[in-house]
Amino acid sequence: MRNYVIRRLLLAIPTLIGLTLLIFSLTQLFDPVERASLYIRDPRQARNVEGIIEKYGLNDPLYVQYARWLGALLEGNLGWSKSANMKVLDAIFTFFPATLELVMFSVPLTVIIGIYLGRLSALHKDRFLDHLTRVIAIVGWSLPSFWLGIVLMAVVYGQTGLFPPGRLSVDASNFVHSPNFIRYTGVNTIDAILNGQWWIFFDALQHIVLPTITLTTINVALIMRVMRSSMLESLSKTYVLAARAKGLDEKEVINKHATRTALIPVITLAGILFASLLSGVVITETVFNYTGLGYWAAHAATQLDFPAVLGFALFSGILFLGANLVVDILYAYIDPRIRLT
Amino acid sequence: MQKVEGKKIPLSERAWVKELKFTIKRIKQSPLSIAGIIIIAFFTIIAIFAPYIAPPPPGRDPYMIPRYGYKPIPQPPSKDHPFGLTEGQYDIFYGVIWGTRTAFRVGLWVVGASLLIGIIVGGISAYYGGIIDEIMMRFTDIIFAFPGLILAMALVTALGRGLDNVMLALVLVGWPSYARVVRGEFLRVKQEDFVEAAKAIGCSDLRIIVRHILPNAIYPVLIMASLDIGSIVIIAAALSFLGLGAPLGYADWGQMIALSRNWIVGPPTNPLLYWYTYIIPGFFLFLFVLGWNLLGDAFRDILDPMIRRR
Amino acid sequence: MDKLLEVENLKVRFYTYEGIVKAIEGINLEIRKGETLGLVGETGCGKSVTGLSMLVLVPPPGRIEDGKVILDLKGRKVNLLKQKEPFLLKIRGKEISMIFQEPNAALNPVYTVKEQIGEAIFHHRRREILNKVLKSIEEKARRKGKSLMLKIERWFYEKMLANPEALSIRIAFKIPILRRFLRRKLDEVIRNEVIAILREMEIPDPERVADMYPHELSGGMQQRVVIAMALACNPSLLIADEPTTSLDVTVQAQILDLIRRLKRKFGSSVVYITHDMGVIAEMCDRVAVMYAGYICELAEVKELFKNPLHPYTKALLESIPRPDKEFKSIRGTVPNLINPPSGCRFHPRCDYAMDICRKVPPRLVEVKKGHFVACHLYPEGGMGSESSA
Repeated sequence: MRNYVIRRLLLAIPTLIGLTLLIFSLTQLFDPVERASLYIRDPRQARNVEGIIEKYGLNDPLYVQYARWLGALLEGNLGWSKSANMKVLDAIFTFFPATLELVMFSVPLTVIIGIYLGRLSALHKDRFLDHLTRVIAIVGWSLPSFWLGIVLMAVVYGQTGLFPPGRLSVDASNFVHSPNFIRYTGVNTIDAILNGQWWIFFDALQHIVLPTITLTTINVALIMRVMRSSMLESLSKTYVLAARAKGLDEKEVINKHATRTALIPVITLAGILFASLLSGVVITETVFNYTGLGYWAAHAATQLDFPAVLGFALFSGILFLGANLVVDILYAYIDPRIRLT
Repeated sequence: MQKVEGKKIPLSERAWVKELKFTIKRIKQSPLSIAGIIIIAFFTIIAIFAPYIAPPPPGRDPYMIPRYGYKPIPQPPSKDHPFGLTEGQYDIFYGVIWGTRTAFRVGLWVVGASLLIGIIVGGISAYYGGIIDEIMMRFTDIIFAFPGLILAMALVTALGRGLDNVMLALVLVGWPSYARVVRGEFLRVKQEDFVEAAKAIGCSDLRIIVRHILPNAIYPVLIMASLDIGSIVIIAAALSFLGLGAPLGYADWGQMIALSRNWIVGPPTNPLLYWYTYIIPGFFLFLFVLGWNLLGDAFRDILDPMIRRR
Repeated sequence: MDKLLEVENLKVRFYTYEGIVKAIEGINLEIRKGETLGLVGETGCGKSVTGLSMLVLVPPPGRIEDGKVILDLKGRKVNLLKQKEPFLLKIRGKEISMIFQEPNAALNPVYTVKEQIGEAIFHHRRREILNKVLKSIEEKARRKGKSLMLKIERWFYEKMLANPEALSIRIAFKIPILRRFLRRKLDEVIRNEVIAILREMEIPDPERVADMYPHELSGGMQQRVVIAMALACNPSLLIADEPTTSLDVTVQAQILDLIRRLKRKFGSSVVYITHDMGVIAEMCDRVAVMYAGYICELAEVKELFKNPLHPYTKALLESIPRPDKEFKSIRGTVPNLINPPSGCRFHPRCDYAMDICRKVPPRLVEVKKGHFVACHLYPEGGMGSESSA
């Protein structure tokens, strides 16, 4: 098992390097003037662009530039985000907790509902329940996230005033930024509990409901579909028949044998879901004015804030890589056959 | 032509005819696939007859939605403007009808190009193996390391805005998935006994690839493509919604929804006052994608040779 | 003539997209106590379905349409097809067991050997196992003195013995850490039982094998594990569905040997399903030849080989490749059972087909003592009654 983990970690390194190469090649799509902005730490430096090009050798051969860029990266210097008015790295750390909060709530919900519906669907194959859940899933997957978000906002928030957009109401926001509130994690719900301020907890919760519903509705289909086919496949396996021949009752056969093996591919899917979420989050956060990474990236893109967009892409890539790594290791833990490969 | 013992087999008995009949029977048995076919047919008709349903004002680019004024406040549906006017007085009906053409254009071109590139790269990779295979797979790995929308966003920001760049970005982001699947299927089929048998009989490499490997390897990718069209259209619309895709006033559903952003919540007395600005374009988008998804899902159940007879 | 299991007029159909497959159209069989009955035929003739029907385990889209499967349960005759599921659960794995063709597929890859065999054991010998656990707890208490943990464990297992469905037990099993703690003794006892069984299966190094996963074992070993799983609770009938078809010949010999020895030791009856006539000759007392869902001939093994009556049987025996004879195959192919041939299902391929063969399906008739044939070459009323096999 340990060998597998080590091997997997080593395999990730070339991909990581490749990641940086890809982003670097994107930076080369701009001319030197625009690239100079990647090196600006201070807005005052923007006046002396020629000097910067000269100083940072932006016309040097590619591999030299790459090495330099990589070096700066490892120091933590990703440039300056003009849309956020702070260093890109700082912006990432500022906005990440919000996205984390959203993911924290919607992923478990999506996975649990998806597994439940998928299993149900497989057990009632071709009967009413199967068709119903499949239709629900397809409809959910076909909904454009920004449209669903808008409609929810219009119908629920517009009509009732409940579940407003944004992260916190004005009062809560003021309190959170005041010295009375200690920022432990940046995740509002957790911080609120740690500070003992329950009203802030509920306030944050209120704001997160609609975005969570939006994300969950769309992604449930993904999990459900895979769980259903995985379950159907595992139900047709001989060892399920053998288990029945042993005299185990149907419930035990399904739960212990069929479901357990069926869950394995769903775990892999969880990693893909994570990526899907990072993408979906951009749209959802924008629609609901939820100030997370996606919100920042979307605004940066429209304002042509290249360092921000590229920094965001790099960060997402690394995050996704990490998620896949964890999933692969989890996979080996659950399925003993994988450990040997 | 198939012959058995010197006699020609009548058309109705030939294998491919029987399979086709079976496929049609399965399609008829599945209400979801029929629904998908009807929806796509509906949109196809709209796309083809767009110039007649919503005639463009002469001398203009038909994809730019005509404006009837410059006021920001949307106008509700009326006799002249069946779906109303959105922010900036753009005609929603016109935009939605011509938006169908845009959607088809984006969906089919992007998926078609991704599919083609994917099949070529995946096929070459599987056929030659060795170092070429390794390089190509590492390359696809790197692209896979990014969530699709985000990489597309980065590309569009770098290349510049516009629907064409969005399409280019989506193709660049999309082909690796197809290449991966094609390569995997190629490798799997290559190992099957019937390929060994064909080699043993003395079939040439080309014949083996075209007649034996390709028909078996291509199903998953085709099914993937049909399911993908919906997602691609949504992502392109999302990028337009963010302002990175179609320019202001272009007949694109995503762009039209972007115009409705300020009007989602109306005055306290009637919050849903401007419903037509977002409900209508969004509904068309949703229906279009739903049709393709239903179709793709049904195709998967019907065409996949392993599943169809269960 | 002590009958263990009797199959009467069994009809099984499969409802597929292409049409209704008439897999088995009324067969009659009898399995006597302590005998090995062979069921031989080509692929698709319905032998596996027959085996599954004895366990009432025909998977959808199949359905057992008609007939009786009468089991002799300690003197009582029970029609399994009329029983409700809870009753059948007690029969499967305990009175009647089945082993499958591909041992790799019959074992769940994510559970160890001891877990899978243990399942069968615990399910059917629950009281015995729980009593053993309690005894081991008592012993530990005597040696090391009573502690709180032991008291909790004892209370828990006594509760399990008394009322397995108790809510407290179900909840306790859902909590991971608690579950691990409570199951320790139970798992230990089960593991020991499993090791004992593995040893009887002549599996070397049973302590290590018990903890292994199926994919870590060779094909032969896997099949022994499957056999162990089936025989764990001493069934009176073992249905072996082509258990050696996917194994090498040398391993096949070992497995056949093992089955023979275990059968003698445990006194069970065996239904041996195969397409290999050589295995039949070696293993079986009586044999039934099946074709396209019908039994065409049934006799004692020696008699069948010496004196095959049905044209199909003759053809089967002749098609065994022999170095000195020219290779002879049966012309034609196995029929499509959605639209089976009229009359005798074998008539399109039969060298002796007569007019009546096309119209009327032949019935199984006793031609000599203990030798039954279903063929118009041997008409009814020839010898004795049309008793079922």
